[in-house]
Amino acid sequence: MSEEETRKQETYSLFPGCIAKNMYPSIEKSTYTIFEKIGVKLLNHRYSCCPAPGVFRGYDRKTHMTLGVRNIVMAAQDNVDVMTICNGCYGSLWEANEMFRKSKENQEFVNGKLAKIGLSYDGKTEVLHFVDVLHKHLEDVENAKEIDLGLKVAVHYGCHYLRPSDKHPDINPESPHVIEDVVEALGCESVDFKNKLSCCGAGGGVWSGAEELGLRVLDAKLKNVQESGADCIVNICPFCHMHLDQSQGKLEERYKIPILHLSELTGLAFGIRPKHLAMHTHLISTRDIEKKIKSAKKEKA
Amino acid sequence: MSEAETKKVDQMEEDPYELENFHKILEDSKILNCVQCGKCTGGCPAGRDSRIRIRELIHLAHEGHDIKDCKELWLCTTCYNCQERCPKGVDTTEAIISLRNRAIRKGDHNFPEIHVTAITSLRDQADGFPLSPDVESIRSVIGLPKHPHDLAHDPEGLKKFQELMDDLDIVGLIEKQCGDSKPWKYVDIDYKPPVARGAKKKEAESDE
Repeated sequence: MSEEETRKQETYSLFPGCIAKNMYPSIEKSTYTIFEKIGVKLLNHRYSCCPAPGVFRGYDRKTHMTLGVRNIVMAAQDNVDVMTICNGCYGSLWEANEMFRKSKENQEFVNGKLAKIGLSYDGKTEVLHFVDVLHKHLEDVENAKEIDLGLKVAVHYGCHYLRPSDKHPDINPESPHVIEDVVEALGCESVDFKNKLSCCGAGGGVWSGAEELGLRVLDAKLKNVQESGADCIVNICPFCHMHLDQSQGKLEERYKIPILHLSELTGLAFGIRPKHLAMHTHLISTRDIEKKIKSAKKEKA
Repeated sequence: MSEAETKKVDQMEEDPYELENFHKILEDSKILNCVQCGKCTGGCPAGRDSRIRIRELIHLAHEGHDIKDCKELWLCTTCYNCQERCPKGVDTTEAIISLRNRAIRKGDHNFPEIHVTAITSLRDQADGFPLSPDVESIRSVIGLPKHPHDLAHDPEGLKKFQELMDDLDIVGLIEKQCGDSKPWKYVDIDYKPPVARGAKKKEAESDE
Protein backbone atom coordinates (compact mmCIF):
# COMPACT_ATOMS: atom_id res chain seq x y z
CA MET A 1 0.00 0.00 0.00
CA SER A 2 1.40 3.40 -0.93
CA GLU A 3 1.72 6.23 1.54
CA GLU A 4 -0.74 8.26 -0.46
CA GLU A 5 -3.46 5.65 -0.10
CA THR A 6 -3.04 5.37 3.65
CA ARG A 7 -3.27 9.13 3.92
CA LYS A 8 -6.59 9.12 2.07
CA GLN A 9 -8.31 6.91 4.62
CA GLU A 10 -7.20 6.14 8.16
CA THR A 11 -5.82 2.62 7.86
CA TYR A 12 -4.28 0.17 10.29
CA SER A 13 -3.10 -3.39 10.22
CA LEU A 14 -5.31 -5.38 12.60
CA PHE A 15 -3.30 -7.59 14.91
CA PRO A 16 -5.99 -10.04 16.07
CA GLY A 17 -3.90 -12.10 18.49
CA CYS A 18 -4.25 -15.85 19.11
CA ILE A 19 -7.24 -15.83 21.42
CA ALA A 20 -9.54 -13.49 19.48
CA LYS A 21 -9.07 -15.28 16.17
CA ASN A 22 -8.78 -18.85 17.44
CA MET A 23 -11.12 -18.90 20.45
CA TYR A 24 -13.43 -15.86 20.43
CA PRO A 25 -14.16 -15.03 16.77
CA SER A 26 -16.96 -12.79 18.07
CA ILE A 27 -14.28 -10.31 19.11
CA GLU A 28 -12.59 -10.35 15.69
CA LYS A 29 -15.89 -10.08 13.83
CA SER A 30 -17.19 -7.16 15.90
CA THR A 31 -13.87 -5.34 15.49
CA TYR A 32 -14.11 -5.43 11.68
CA THR A 33 -17.73 -4.30 11.75
CA ILE A 34 -17.37 -1.38 14.16
CA PHE A 35 -14.25 0.05 12.54
CA GLU A 36 -15.87 -0.11 9.13
CA LYS A 37 -18.81 1.84 10.54
CA ILE A 38 -16.62 4.59 11.93
CA GLY A 39 -14.68 4.87 8.68
CA VAL A 40 -11.39 3.23 9.68
CA LYS A 41 -9.92 0.68 7.28
CA LEU A 42 -8.32 -2.49 8.66
CA LEU A 43 -5.83 -4.64 6.75
CA ASN A 44 -4.70 -8.23 7.45
CA HIS A 45 -1.17 -9.51 7.58
CA ARG A 46 0.46 -12.86 8.24
CA TYR A 47 1.11 -12.58 11.96
CA SER A 48 2.38 -15.11 14.47
CA CYS A 49 1.65 -15.03 18.22
CA CYS A 50 2.79 -11.63 19.52
CA PRO A 51 4.55 -13.62 21.44
CA ALA A 52 2.72 -13.61 24.78
CA PRO A 53 4.50 -11.29 27.22
CA GLY A 54 4.06 -13.24 30.43
CA VAL A 55 5.22 -16.59 29.19
CA PHE A 56 7.62 -16.02 26.29
CA ARG A 57 9.25 -12.85 27.58
CA GLY A 58 9.97 -14.74 30.80
CA TYR A 59 11.99 -17.25 28.76
CA ASP A 60 14.21 -14.91 26.86
CA ARG A 61 13.82 -11.20 26.17
CA LYS A 62 15.84 -11.15 22.96
CA THR A 63 13.81 -13.96 21.41
CA HIS A 64 10.63 -12.19 22.45
CA MET A 65 11.80 -8.90 20.95
CA THR A 66 12.92 -10.50 17.67
CA LEU A 67 9.65 -12.37 17.13
CA GLY A 68 7.70 -9.23 18.09
CA VAL A 69 9.60 -7.11 15.58
CA ARG A 70 9.04 -9.74 12.86
CA ASN A 71 5.33 -9.14 13.34
CA ILE A 72 5.70 -5.35 13.17
CA VAL A 73 7.66 -5.71 9.92
CA MET A 74 4.60 -7.28 8.25
CA ALA A 75 2.69 -3.99 8.73
CA ALA A 76 5.75 -1.84 8.06
CA GLN A 77 6.03 -3.35 4.57
CA ASP A 78 2.62 -1.83 3.81
CA ASN A 79 3.35 1.53 5.45
CA VAL A 80 0.65 1.13 8.10
CA ASP A 81 0.70 1.11 11.89
CA VAL A 82 -0.33 -1.92 13.91
CA MET A 83 -3.58 -1.86 15.87
CA THR A 84 -4.03 -4.53 18.56
CA ILE A 85 -7.26 -5.62 20.25
CA CYS A 86 -5.48 -7.31 23.17
CA ASN A 87 -3.45 -5.95 26.08
CA GLY A 88 -0.95 -8.81 25.84
CA CYS A 89 -0.28 -8.20 22.14
CA TYR A 90 -0.13 -4.46 22.81
CA GLY A 91 2.36 -4.87 25.65
CA SER A 92 4.50 -7.31 23.68
CA LEU A 93 4.69 -5.42 20.43
CA TRP A 94 4.97 -2.00 22.02
CA GLU A 95 7.85 -3.16 24.16
CA ALA A 96 9.59 -5.01 21.33
CA ASN A 97 9.37 -1.79 19.32
CA GLU A 98 10.78 0.31 22.19
CA MET A 99 13.60 -2.13 22.93
CA PHE A 100 14.50 -2.02 19.26
CA ARG A 101 14.37 1.76 19.00
CA LYS A 102 16.34 2.47 22.15
CA SER A 103 19.40 0.32 21.60
CA LYS A 104 21.76 0.06 18.68
CA GLU A 105 22.91 -3.31 19.92
CA ASN A 106 19.33 -4.59 19.79
CA GLN A 107 18.86 -3.17 16.27
CA GLU A 108 21.93 -5.02 15.07
CA PHE A 109 20.85 -8.23 16.79
CA VAL A 110 17.28 -8.18 15.44
CA ASN A 111 18.15 -7.08 11.92
CA GLY A 112 20.95 -9.66 11.83
CA LYS A 113 18.45 -12.42 12.61
CA LEU A 114 15.74 -11.02 10.32
CA ALA A 115 18.17 -10.65 7.39
CA LYS A 116 18.50 -14.43 7.29
CA ILE A 117 14.81 -14.71 6.36
CA GLY A 118 14.91 -11.73 4.03
CA LEU A 119 13.42 -9.06 6.33
CA SER A 120 14.58 -5.84 7.97
CA TYR A 121 13.08 -3.10 10.15
CA ASP A 122 13.69 0.64 10.46
CA GLY A 123 11.80 1.29 13.72
CA LYS A 124 9.31 3.70 12.18
CA THR A 125 6.06 1.79 12.71
CA GLU A 126 3.78 2.54 15.67
CA VAL A 127 1.90 0.02 17.78
CA LEU A 128 -1.56 1.16 18.92
CA HIS A 129 -4.31 -0.18 21.12
CA PHE A 130 -7.80 -0.20 19.60
CA VAL A 131 -9.34 1.57 22.60
CA ASP A 132 -7.17 4.61 21.88
CA VAL A 133 -8.36 4.63 18.26
CA LEU A 134 -12.00 4.29 19.37
CA HIS A 135 -11.49 7.08 21.89
CA LYS A 136 -10.13 9.32 19.17
CA HIS A 137 -13.29 8.64 17.14
CA LEU A 138 -15.73 9.14 20.02
CA GLU A 139 -17.93 11.41 17.91
CA ASP A 140 -18.10 8.85 15.09
CA VAL A 141 -18.94 6.19 17.66
CA GLU A 142 -21.88 8.24 18.90
CA ASN A 143 -23.06 8.85 15.35
CA ALA A 144 -22.87 5.16 14.43
CA LYS A 145 -24.67 4.07 17.58
CA GLU A 146 -28.19 2.72 17.02
CA ILE A 147 -29.10 1.69 20.55
CA ASP A 148 -28.43 3.33 23.89
CA LEU A 149 -27.57 0.13 25.73
CA GLY A 150 -28.56 1.31 29.20
CA LEU A 151 -26.38 -1.31 30.94
CA LYS A 152 -24.48 -0.99 34.18
CA VAL A 153 -20.98 -2.14 33.33
CA ALA A 154 -17.90 -2.94 35.39
CA VAL A 155 -14.90 -1.75 33.42
CA HIS A 156 -11.84 -4.03 33.53
CA TYR A 157 -8.69 -2.41 32.16
CA GLY A 158 -6.28 -5.32 32.53
CA CYS A 159 -2.63 -4.67 33.19
CA HIS A 160 -0.58 -4.15 30.06
CA TYR A 161 -2.68 -1.34 28.64
CA LEU A 162 -2.08 0.86 31.69
CA ARG A 163 1.25 -0.36 32.96
CA PRO A 164 4.13 0.35 32.54
CA SER A 165 2.69 3.85 32.25
CA ASP A 166 5.28 5.16 29.78
CA LYS A 167 2.99 3.89 26.99
CA HIS A 168 0.51 6.67 27.82
CA PRO A 169 2.13 9.72 29.37
CA ASP A 170 -1.26 11.48 29.63
CA ILE A 171 -3.19 8.71 31.38
CA ASN A 172 -3.05 8.37 35.15
CA PRO A 173 -2.56 4.62 35.68
CA GLU A 174 -4.25 4.81 39.09
CA SER A 175 -7.32 6.63 37.78
CA PRO A 176 -7.82 6.24 34.02
CA HIS A 177 -10.92 7.38 32.14
CA VAL A 178 -10.67 5.95 28.62
CA ILE A 179 -12.90 2.86 28.49
CA GLU A 180 -15.40 4.74 30.67
CA ASP A 181 -15.66 7.47 28.02
CA VAL A 182 -16.42 4.88 25.34
CA VAL A 183 -19.01 2.92 27.35
CA GLU A 184 -20.73 6.15 28.38
CA ALA A 185 -20.89 7.15 24.71
CA LEU A 186 -22.68 3.83 24.13
CA GLY A 187 -25.30 4.73 26.73
CA CYS A 188 -23.90 2.57 29.54
CA GLU A 189 -23.16 3.51 33.11
CA SER A 190 -19.70 2.60 34.40
CA VAL A 191 -20.06 1.49 38.03
CA ASP A 192 -17.32 1.85 40.57
CA PHE A 193 -16.09 -1.14 42.53
CA LYS A 194 -13.37 -2.08 44.97
CA ASN A 195 -9.89 -2.69 43.51
CA LYS A 196 -11.19 -1.79 40.07
CA LEU A 197 -7.77 -1.69 38.43
CA SER A 198 -6.55 -5.02 39.81
CA CYS A 199 -5.24 -7.86 37.68
CA CYS A 200 -7.58 -10.68 36.50
CA GLY A 201 -5.01 -13.26 37.63
CA ALA A 202 -4.11 -14.81 34.26
CA GLY A 203 -0.94 -12.97 33.25
CA GLY A 204 2.72 -13.73 33.68
CA GLY A 205 2.31 -17.41 32.87
CA VAL A 206 0.22 -17.87 36.02
CA TRP A 207 -2.89 -18.98 34.07
CA SER A 208 -1.02 -22.03 32.80
CA GLY A 209 1.75 -22.43 35.37
CA ALA A 210 -0.03 -21.81 38.69
CA GLU A 211 -3.74 -22.11 37.89
CA GLU A 212 -4.99 -22.18 41.48
CA LEU A 213 -3.37 -18.85 42.17
CA GLY A 214 -4.96 -17.39 39.03
CA LEU A 215 -8.36 -18.59 40.25
CA ARG A 216 -7.96 -17.00 43.67
CA VAL A 217 -7.05 -13.64 42.15
CA LEU A 218 -10.05 -13.96 39.83
CA ASP A 219 -12.36 -14.84 42.71
CA ALA A 220 -11.40 -11.64 44.55
CA LYS A 221 -12.06 -9.60 41.40
CA LEU A 222 -15.49 -11.15 40.70
CA LYS A 223 -16.60 -10.76 44.30
CA ASN A 224 -16.00 -7.02 44.11
CA VAL A 225 -17.78 -6.77 40.76
CA GLN A 226 -20.80 -8.65 42.06
CA GLU A 227 -21.10 -6.32 45.03
CA SER A 228 -21.20 -3.36 42.64
CA GLY A 229 -24.41 -4.67 40.99
CA ALA A 230 -22.98 -4.45 37.46
CA ASP A 231 -24.76 -6.29 34.61
CA CYS A 232 -21.50 -7.39 33.00
CA ILE A 233 -17.74 -6.88 32.87
CA VAL A 234 -16.35 -5.00 29.87
CA ASN A 235 -12.70 -5.68 29.01
CA ILE A 236 -10.21 -4.73 26.32
CA CYS A 237 -8.09 -7.89 26.36
CA PRO A 238 -9.07 -11.35 25.03
CA PHE A 239 -6.73 -13.04 27.52
CA CYS A 240 -8.49 -11.38 30.49
CA HIS A 241 -11.74 -12.09 28.61
CA MET A 242 -10.93 -15.79 28.39
CA HIS A 243 -9.92 -16.08 32.03
CA LEU A 244 -12.93 -14.09 33.24
CA ASP A 245 -15.32 -16.09 31.04
CA GLN A 246 -13.91 -19.62 31.13
CA SER A 247 -12.50 -19.83 34.64
CA GLN A 248 -15.67 -18.59 36.37
CA GLY A 249 -17.07 -22.12 36.22
CA LYS A 250 -14.03 -23.47 38.08
CA LEU A 251 -14.74 -21.37 41.16
CA GLU A 252 -16.73 -22.60 44.13
CA GLU A 253 -18.89 -19.50 44.11
CA ARG A 254 -21.18 -19.49 41.02
CA TYR A 255 -20.97 -15.90 39.86
CA LYS A 256 -22.28 -16.12 36.26
CA ILE A 257 -21.26 -12.55 35.42
CA PRO A 258 -21.39 -12.03 31.62
CA ILE A 259 -18.11 -10.93 30.05
CA LEU A 260 -17.98 -8.63 27.02
CA HIS A 261 -15.02 -7.35 25.06
CA LEU A 262 -15.40 -3.64 24.31
CA SER A 263 -15.57 -4.46 20.58
CA GLU A 264 -18.55 -6.74 21.20
CA LEU A 265 -20.30 -4.15 23.38
CA THR A 266 -19.75 -1.49 20.70
CA GLY A 267 -20.99 -3.91 18.04
CA LEU A 268 -24.21 -4.53 19.98
CA ALA A 269 -24.74 -0.78 20.35
CA PHE A 270 -24.18 -0.38 16.61
CA GLY A 271 -27.15 -2.70 16.12
CA ILE A 272 -25.37 -5.94 15.15
CA ARG A 273 -27.54 -8.91 16.12
CA PRO A 274 -25.97 -11.07 18.85
CA LYS A 275 -26.44 -14.14 16.66
CA HIS A 276 -24.24 -12.59 13.98
CA LEU A 277 -21.48 -12.20 16.55
CA ALA A 278 -21.71 -15.80 17.83
CA MET A 279 -22.22 -14.52 21.34
CA HIS A 280 -23.32 -18.05 22.27
CA THR A 281 -19.65 -19.11 22.17
CA HIS A 282 -19.18 -17.38 25.50
CA LEU A 283 -19.18 -19.86 28.35
CA ILE A 284 -21.12 -17.49 30.62
CA SER A 285 -24.44 -16.81 28.92
CA THR A 286 -24.95 -13.26 27.68
CA ARG A 287 -28.70 -13.79 27.21
CA ASP A 288 -29.75 -11.47 30.04
CA ILE A 289 -27.68 -8.70 28.49
CA GLU A 290 -29.22 -9.33 25.08
CA LYS A 291 -32.72 -9.16 26.57
CA LYS A 292 -31.98 -5.83 28.21
CA ILE A 293 -30.63 -4.47 24.95
CA LYS A 294 -33.72 -5.67 23.09
CA SER A 295 -36.02 -3.86 25.47
CA ALA A 296 -33.85 -0.72 25.22
CA LYS A 297 -34.25 -0.92 21.44
CA LYS A 298 -38.04 -1.29 21.72
CA GLU A 299 -38.27 1.66 24.05
CA LYS A 300 -36.48 3.78 21.52
CA ALA A 301 -38.81 2.63 18.74
CA MET B 1 12.54 -19.82 50.99
CA SER B 2 15.00 -18.45 53.44
CA GLU B 3 18.36 -16.78 53.11
CA ALA B 4 20.01 -19.97 54.34
CA GLU B 5 18.55 -21.92 51.40
CA THR B 6 19.98 -19.61 48.75
CA LYS B 7 23.65 -19.19 48.02
CA LYS B 8 25.32 -15.86 47.50
CA VAL B 9 26.24 -15.30 43.88
CA ASP B 10 29.68 -13.91 44.67
CA GLN B 11 30.59 -16.98 46.71
CA MET B 12 29.70 -19.40 43.94
CA GLU B 13 32.25 -20.79 41.58
CA GLU B 14 30.84 -19.89 38.25
CA ASP B 15 31.69 -18.31 34.99
CA PRO B 16 32.29 -14.58 34.96
CA TYR B 17 29.51 -14.08 32.45
CA GLU B 18 26.92 -15.23 34.96
CA LEU B 19 28.33 -13.02 37.68
CA GLU B 20 28.35 -10.10 35.32
CA ASN B 21 24.81 -10.94 34.22
CA PHE B 22 23.52 -10.99 37.80
CA HIS B 23 25.10 -7.63 38.61
CA LYS B 24 23.78 -6.24 35.34
CA ILE B 25 20.23 -7.18 36.38
CA LEU B 26 20.72 -5.42 39.73
CA GLU B 27 22.04 -2.36 37.98
CA ASP B 28 19.57 -2.21 35.07
CA SER B 29 16.54 -2.60 37.31
CA LYS B 30 17.96 -0.23 39.94
CA ILE B 31 17.51 -2.81 42.70
CA LEU B 32 20.26 -1.11 44.69
CA ASN B 33 17.93 1.88 45.19
CA CYS B 34 15.47 -0.25 47.20
CA VAL B 35 14.74 1.05 50.71
CA GLN B 36 12.53 -1.94 51.64
CA CYS B 37 9.42 0.22 52.15
CA GLY B 38 7.13 -2.65 51.12
CA LYS B 39 4.78 -0.79 48.76
CA CYS B 40 5.50 -3.49 46.16
CA THR B 41 4.27 -6.35 48.33
CA GLY B 42 1.37 -4.19 49.56
CA GLY B 43 -0.06 -3.81 46.05
CA CYS B 44 0.69 -7.31 44.77
CA PRO B 45 -2.47 -9.21 43.70
CA ALA B 46 -0.63 -12.55 43.68
CA GLY B 47 0.94 -11.93 47.08
CA ARG B 48 -2.46 -11.91 48.78
CA ASP B 49 -3.01 -15.54 47.87
CA SER B 50 0.43 -17.05 47.59
CA ARG B 51 3.94 -17.08 48.98
CA ILE B 52 5.34 -14.46 46.57
CA ARG B 53 6.75 -11.42 48.36
CA ILE B 54 8.30 -9.00 45.90
CA ARG B 55 10.06 -7.11 48.68
CA GLU B 56 11.69 -10.32 49.89
CA LEU B 57 12.85 -11.31 46.39
CA ILE B 58 14.30 -7.85 45.81
CA HIS B 59 15.95 -7.96 49.24
CA LEU B 60 17.58 -11.33 48.56
CA ALA B 61 18.82 -10.20 45.17
CA HIS B 62 20.06 -6.94 46.69
CA GLU B 63 22.09 -8.93 49.21
CA GLY B 64 23.61 -10.94 46.38
CA HIS B 65 21.69 -14.18 46.92
CA ASP B 66 21.16 -16.37 43.91
CA ILE B 67 17.38 -16.76 43.67
CA LYS B 68 17.26 -18.73 40.45
CA ASP B 69 15.59 -21.71 42.09
CA CYS B 70 12.91 -19.74 43.93
CA LYS B 71 9.53 -20.99 42.71
CA GLU B 72 8.10 -17.62 43.67
CA LEU B 73 9.65 -16.13 40.54
CA TRP B 74 6.94 -17.95 38.56
CA LEU B 75 4.04 -16.65 40.67
CA CYS B 76 4.23 -13.07 39.40
CA THR B 77 1.39 -12.12 37.00
CA THR B 78 3.58 -9.26 35.66
CA CYS B 79 0.79 -6.76 36.39
CA TYR B 80 3.39 -4.01 37.01
CA ASN B 81 1.54 -2.63 40.05
CA CYS B 82 4.69 -2.79 42.18
CA GLN B 83 6.86 -1.17 39.54
CA GLU B 84 4.40 1.69 39.00
CA ARG B 85 4.16 2.38 42.72
CA CYS B 86 7.82 2.07 43.71
CA PRO B 87 8.84 5.42 45.19
CA LYS B 88 12.51 4.73 44.42
CA GLY B 89 12.00 3.89 40.76
CA VAL B 90 13.07 0.26 41.03
CA ASP B 91 11.96 -1.68 37.96
CA THR B 92 10.68 -4.55 40.05
CA THR B 93 8.65 -6.37 37.37
CA GLU B 94 11.45 -6.01 34.84
CA ALA B 95 13.79 -7.49 37.46
CA ILE B 96 11.49 -10.50 37.93
CA ILE B 97 11.44 -11.06 34.16
CA SER B 98 15.23 -10.74 33.89
CA LEU B 99 15.67 -13.13 36.81
CA ARG B 100 13.36 -15.61 35.06
CA ASN B 101 15.50 -15.30 31.92
CA ARG B 102 18.61 -15.92 33.97
CA ALA B 103 17.06 -18.89 35.78
CA ILE B 104 16.33 -20.51 32.42
CA ARG B 105 19.83 -19.86 31.08
CA LYS B 106 21.29 -21.47 34.18
CA GLY B 107 18.90 -24.42 34.28
CA ASP B 108 15.72 -23.92 36.25
CA HIS B 109 14.28 -27.06 37.75
CA ASN B 110 11.25 -25.29 39.15
CA PHE B 111 10.12 -24.05 35.78
CA PRO B 112 6.38 -24.83 35.35
CA GLU B 113 6.30 -27.94 33.16
CA ILE B 114 3.43 -26.70 31.00
CA HIS B 115 5.58 -23.86 29.67
CA VAL B 116 7.66 -26.41 27.76
CA THR B 117 4.58 -27.26 25.68
CA ALA B 118 3.84 -23.56 25.13
CA ILE B 119 7.15 -22.97 23.41
CA THR B 120 6.81 -26.01 21.13
CA SER B 121 3.30 -24.89 20.18
CA LEU B 122 4.67 -21.48 19.25
CA ARG B 123 7.36 -23.04 17.07
CA ASP B 124 5.12 -25.58 15.35
CA GLN B 125 1.99 -23.47 14.82
CA ALA B 126 3.17 -19.89 15.31
CA ASP B 127 0.39 -19.46 17.89
CA GLY B 128 0.23 -19.87 21.65
CA PHE B 129 -3.42 -20.93 21.35
CA PRO B 130 -3.97 -22.92 18.13
CA LEU B 131 -7.22 -22.96 16.15
CA SER B 132 -9.68 -25.76 16.89
CA PRO B 133 -12.07 -27.35 14.30
CA ASP B 134 -15.07 -26.14 16.37
CA VAL B 135 -14.01 -22.53 16.07
CA GLU B 136 -13.27 -23.00 12.35
CA SER B 137 -16.93 -23.76 11.70
CA ILE B 138 -18.16 -20.92 13.94
CA ARG B 139 -15.89 -18.53 12.02
CA SER B 140 -17.48 -19.44 8.70
CA VAL B 141 -21.01 -19.21 10.12
CA ILE B 142 -20.52 -15.60 11.23
CA GLY B 143 -18.93 -14.55 7.96
CA LEU B 144 -15.24 -14.69 8.80
CA PRO B 145 -12.87 -16.76 6.65
CA LYS B 146 -12.73 -20.33 8.02
CA HIS B 147 -8.98 -20.00 8.40
CA PRO B 148 -7.71 -16.70 9.77
CA HIS B 149 -5.31 -14.77 7.56
CA ASP B 150 -2.34 -15.60 9.76
CA LEU B 151 1.07 -17.21 9.73
CA ALA B 152 -0.25 -20.60 10.79
CA HIS B 153 -2.11 -20.81 7.45
CA ASP B 154 0.77 -19.63 5.28
CA PRO B 155 3.09 -22.65 4.82
CA GLU B 156 5.90 -20.65 3.25
CA GLY B 157 5.85 -17.91 5.87
CA LEU B 158 5.59 -20.48 8.64
CA LYS B 159 8.69 -22.23 7.35
CA LYS B 160 10.64 -18.97 7.50
CA PHE B 161 9.29 -18.25 10.98
CA GLN B 162 10.49 -21.68 12.12
CA GLU B 163 13.91 -20.99 10.60
CA LEU B 164 14.02 -17.79 12.66
CA MET B 165 12.98 -19.60 15.83
CA ASP B 166 15.53 -22.34 15.27
CA ASP B 167 18.18 -19.71 14.72
CA LEU B 168 17.25 -18.12 18.06
CA ASP B 169 17.44 -21.65 19.52
CA ILE B 170 14.82 -20.98 22.18
CA VAL B 171 13.14 -24.40 21.96
CA GLY B 172 16.51 -26.13 22.36
CA LEU B 173 17.34 -23.98 25.37
CA ILE B 174 14.06 -24.68 27.15
CA GLU B 175 14.23 -28.42 26.48
CA LYS B 176 17.84 -28.67 27.56
CA GLN B 177 17.62 -26.50 30.65
CA CYS B 178 14.11 -27.12 31.85
CA GLY B 179 13.22 -30.53 30.41
CA ASP B 180 13.53 -32.18 33.81
CA SER B 181 11.22 -29.74 35.60
CA LYS B 182 8.52 -31.48 37.57
CA PRO B 183 4.92 -30.39 37.92
CA TRP B 184 4.40 -28.37 41.05
CA LYS B 185 1.71 -26.32 42.64
CA TYR B 186 2.12 -23.01 44.28
CA VAL B 187 0.38 -24.39 47.35
CA ASP B 188 3.31 -26.80 47.77
CA ILE B 189 5.47 -23.92 48.82
CA ASP B 190 5.55 -23.87 52.58
CA TYR B 191 3.27 -20.91 53.18
CA LYS B 192 3.05 -19.24 56.54
CA PRO B 193 0.72 -16.26 56.67
CA PRO B 194 2.55 -13.14 57.72
CA VAL B 195 2.29 -12.43 61.44
CA ALA B 196 0.96 -8.97 62.21
CA ARG B 197 3.42 -6.63 63.79
CA GLY B 198 3.30 -6.75 67.56
CA ALA B 199 1.19 -9.93 67.53
CA LYS B 200 3.98 -12.01 69.04
CA LYS B 201 4.49 -9.49 71.78
CA LYS B 202 0.77 -9.46 72.58
CA GLU B 203 0.73 -13.24 72.64
CA ALA B 204 3.58 -13.27 75.11
CA GLU B 205 1.80 -10.70 77.25
CA SER B 206 -1.45 -12.68 77.33
CA ASP B 207 0.48 -15.80 78.32
CA GLU B 208 1.76 -14.07 81.39
